[in-house]
Amino acid sequence: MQRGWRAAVVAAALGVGGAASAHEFRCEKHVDGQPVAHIDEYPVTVRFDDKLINIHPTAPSLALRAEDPGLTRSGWSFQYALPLAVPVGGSADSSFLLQIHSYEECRALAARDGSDDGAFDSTFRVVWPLGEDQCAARLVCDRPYEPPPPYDCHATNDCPEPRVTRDEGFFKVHESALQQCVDLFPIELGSVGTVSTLEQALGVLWASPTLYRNGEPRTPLDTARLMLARQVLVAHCNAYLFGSFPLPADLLESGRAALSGIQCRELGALRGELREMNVEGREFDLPADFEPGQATPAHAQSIAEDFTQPSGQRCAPGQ
Amino acid sequence: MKKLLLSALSLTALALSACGSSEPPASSTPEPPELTTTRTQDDAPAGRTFELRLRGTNAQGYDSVLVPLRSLEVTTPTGAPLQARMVARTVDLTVQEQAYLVGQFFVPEGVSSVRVKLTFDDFGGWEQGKKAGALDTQVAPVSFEAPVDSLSQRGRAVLLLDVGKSLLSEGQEQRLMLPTLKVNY
Repeated sequence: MQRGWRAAVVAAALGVGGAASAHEFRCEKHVDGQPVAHIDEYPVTVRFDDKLINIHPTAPSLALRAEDPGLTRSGWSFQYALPLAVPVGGSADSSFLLQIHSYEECRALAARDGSDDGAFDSTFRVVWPLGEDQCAARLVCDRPYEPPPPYDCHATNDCPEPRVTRDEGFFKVHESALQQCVDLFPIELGSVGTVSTLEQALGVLWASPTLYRNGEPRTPLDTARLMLARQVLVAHCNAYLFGSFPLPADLLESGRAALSGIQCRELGALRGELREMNVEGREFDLPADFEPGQATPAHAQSIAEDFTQPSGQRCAPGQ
Repeated sequence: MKKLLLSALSLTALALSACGSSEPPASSTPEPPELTTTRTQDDAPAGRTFELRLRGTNAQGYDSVLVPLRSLEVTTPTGAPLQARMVARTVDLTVQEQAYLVGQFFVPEGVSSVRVKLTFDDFGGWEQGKKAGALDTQVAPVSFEAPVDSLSQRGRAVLLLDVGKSLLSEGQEQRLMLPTLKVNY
C-alpha cells in the first residue's frame, strides 16, 4: 500500500476563522482513471484519484473535513491540515495506491461499502459548514480468467447452450417481456400471493421493500419475503421464457417454498443464490424469436400494483 | 422509565409529523417544516423532528430518472439508533422544482450530531428522448454525519444529486447511478 498526495494547485491550510468563508466545492473521484474500473487479475495495484475543486468565483472555499470511509481502513488519510482553504481557481489533488492480492480480498473490500454486490464503491466526502460534497468511483471485482477446458466442444459438437437470463432491472422496465411471462401461467409466490397480471408482476418488482401500500413499515419478515419474491419471479421468467432454469435444478422451487416460511436467513440466502443465477446470463443475446419491446420505466412504475399484504408473522427466533 | 417515555414520545412525534406526507414532492425551496418539539411532562424539550429531502440537479435531457428507495437509518455517532420514518418510495430526479420528502427522523435532546444513511432499492429506470432502460441503483448507501446545531437552522438536510455526473452507461440500455451529490443543511 502506498500513498502519494500532491497538490496540483497550492492549497493553503488556514486556521478556523481565516479569511475563507465560501463553501462551493466540486469533487471528482476516479479509479484507474475511470469512474468504474474492472479487475480480473490478482494481485493488482489500483489507483484512486480524488480532486477537490473550489468553484466559488471570488473567494476561497473552506473544507472542514475530508474523508473516504471505505478506504480509511486500507490506509487512506487526508494529507492536508484541516480545515483547508482552497483558493479561487484552485484544487487539491490526491492519489492513493491500493494493492489487492486476490479475488476474495477484492470481494471482502466490496462488502465493506454497505452493498454486497461484488463492487466496491469508494466515496470521497468533503465536509464544509452547513453541508458536504460527495463523489464516488466503483471498482468491480471480476473473477480471475480461467482457461477453457482442454477439449474443443465445437469439434465434438456438444457445446452447452448459453444460459440466457435477464435481471430484475430488465423485467422492471420491459413491460412486453414481463407480459409474455405472466401470460404463460400464473406465478406462484407462496404466501406473498399469486401473480396473474402484468400490474401485479410490476407491483412485486416496484413495491417498496420497507413500506406496505398503506405507508406502514414492513416487518423484516415481509421485507425478506418481498426481496426473495422478486428473484423468484425473475427466475421463473428466465426459466419459462428462455429455458434458463436456475442451477441447482430445485433452486427455483426451493425459493418458492421458502416464501411461505419464516426462516429469514434462508430467505436471504436463497435470494442471493437466485439473484446470482438471474444475472449470470445477462450478457448473452436474447433468443432470436423473442421480442422484449421497448423499455418504458415511467409507465411501468405508474401501473405497478402492490398487492402484497402484511402477513402478521415474524422471523423465526434467532433470525 | 424516562427512556421509555422518550421513545414513546419520539414515535408519536414522528407519526404525527408524518401525517399527510405520503405525497412525496414538496417545493424545492420549502418553508421550514412544521417542527415538532416534544416536551416531557415537566415541560422540558425532549427533542426535535428533522426532514431528509432529495432532489435531482443537472438532469437536462432526461425525461425521467426513477430512483427507488429502500431504507432510511439514522443513528448517533456511536451507533445508537434514532427513530426514523421513511415516507418516499420511488423519486423522479428530473422533477426539478420539487424536493421529495424522503423521510423524517427524531433527535432527542442531548444528541449533538447524527449519522444518516439512505439506501437505494436495486433498480430504477431512465428515459431520455427515444432511449430508455433500467437504472442500476445497487450502490453503496449515501451516508453523511451532520451536527444537530447545523440541521436545526432549517430543520432539514437536502440531498442534491447531480444526475448528469451520477448516471453512467453500462451497456446499450442499462445505466449505473454512482452518486455525485451535495448535502445541504
